[in-house]
Amino acid sequence: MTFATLQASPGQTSAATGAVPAVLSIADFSLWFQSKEVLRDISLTIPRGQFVAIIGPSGSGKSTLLNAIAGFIGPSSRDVTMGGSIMIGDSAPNAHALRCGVVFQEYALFPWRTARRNVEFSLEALDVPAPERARRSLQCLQQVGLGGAADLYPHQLSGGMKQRVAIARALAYDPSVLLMDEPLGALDALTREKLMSLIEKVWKETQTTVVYITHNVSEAVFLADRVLVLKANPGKVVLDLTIDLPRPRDALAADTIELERRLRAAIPDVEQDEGELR
Amino acid sequence: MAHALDTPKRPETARPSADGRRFWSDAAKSNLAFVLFVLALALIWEATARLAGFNRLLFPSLLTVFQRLGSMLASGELFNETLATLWKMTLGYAIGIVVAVPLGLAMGRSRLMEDLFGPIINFLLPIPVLVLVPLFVLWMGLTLQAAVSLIALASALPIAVNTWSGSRGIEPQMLRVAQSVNITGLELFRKVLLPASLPSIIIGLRQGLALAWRAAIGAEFFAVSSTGLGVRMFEAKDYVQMDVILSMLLVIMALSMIFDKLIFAPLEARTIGRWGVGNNS
Repeated sequence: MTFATLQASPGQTSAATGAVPAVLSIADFSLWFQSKEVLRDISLTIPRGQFVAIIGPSGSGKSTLLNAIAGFIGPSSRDVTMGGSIMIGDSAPNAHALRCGVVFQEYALFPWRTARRNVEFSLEALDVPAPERARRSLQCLQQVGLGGAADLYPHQLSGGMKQRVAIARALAYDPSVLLMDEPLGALDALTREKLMSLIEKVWKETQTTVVYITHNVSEAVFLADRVLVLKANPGKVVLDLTIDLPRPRDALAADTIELERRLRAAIPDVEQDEGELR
Repeated sequence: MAHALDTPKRPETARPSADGRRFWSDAAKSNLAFVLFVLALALIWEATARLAGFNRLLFPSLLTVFQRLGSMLASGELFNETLATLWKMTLGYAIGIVVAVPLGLAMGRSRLMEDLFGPIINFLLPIPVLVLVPLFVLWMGLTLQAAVSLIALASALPIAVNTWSGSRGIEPQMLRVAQSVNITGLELFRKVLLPASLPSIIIGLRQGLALAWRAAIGAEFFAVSSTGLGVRMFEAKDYVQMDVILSMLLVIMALSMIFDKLIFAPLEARTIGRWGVGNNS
């Protein structure tokens, strides 16, 4: 029942969480692509186990932020200039100890591997011996409810099943941070609802830290402990909102809907921002 | 695309026997139609040879062609000539694959490699490899090496080009998944780049084999080799042995078809067919 605490200034909430160690700390992070400022002064501390959703209009750099956290974009990337710092645990992205799991909108499964072998891909990278790989990959598939589809190839799976394999693959890596880039964006509404519950269940079971990029306010309100709203041009945090509605949340409950309404009002006008992009 | 929420799609490519209940499968019908067509063409040829009054030497009856084929088979001559051609083709093609696949993969993933090799390959691609015969013969003489080098170059070009375009087109997010779990270098080539490019590589392998045939027979015509199907064919021209020429042609056509059915069809079924990433489906 207790409502979200609205905070206008970003980066302050973590201080209140006290003892829980930060898994991800971003300090004064800025990013330019060529001469365009994509992200400005992002500061953000995410404690272990927190589910953080980042929403914002197109051009707000939310996927860029995720790519920077994952180390896909780094200081050595072409045409990219960076300022500030991103730390995962005690190391920078792309350091050897880094453990990020990634889930993309378009699944990015390997079509030449069965569901099980797709999950094993993460385990091969950790040099897990073969019998142990088989056991753990099946376990991860069962966790997302796909134990029976282990030997099917991706083209034999529906979109929702593909995304569940991708989630299992990311979990198998036992990541410090699970990064999800609009994971439900390509799915129909019914599948999306089922997967939202599944993601919540898996997050609770694994107690992993999640950074979840979306442009869907309902997903953010249903899933997240904390929602960051970005504005575009340059991408900048305009709202850092803690959501402490009890779980599991009811998407149709009055307080959920009220929260969604307030969050929507906080998101800068998409049309206008896209116009400015050019 | 509308499909049931959580039921797997029916594996379409995985079980071609699904239509086995019908007496004639579609594939059998196509094959039957093709066989009948070839028989009709043979009949027309035979009728023309017997009834049109052309010179028998230049337009022999199919019966004489098959008799000649039989006698060449019995004497072991056909076997030796075929083996000689296949041997140089195998060597050249194998070298072409071993060089072109890694080169193409590297070109697709490295800007520098692309800048260095792309223009050269695009320049050589439309040129018939046989224009290099004088060059290779002066360098290496009328040797197996010269013929094999020509075949290797001929087959390497389309293999490299197709592998290149395949590895360029790999979904970037697949590479990011690999990057996120620290899979790099040779392991990345083996586990991601190679299988992801395979549909294009197979197209390249088919084109490469066709060009290997042309280079092999061409090299034999130009006397780079002294044995082989092309050599025997070119000799037969001097003695107006049309039946020998046609026999060789039949053998070459049969071998191409056998390669397709024995190598490429199973290779495609076991890889891109099973993965549902077909080239033209």
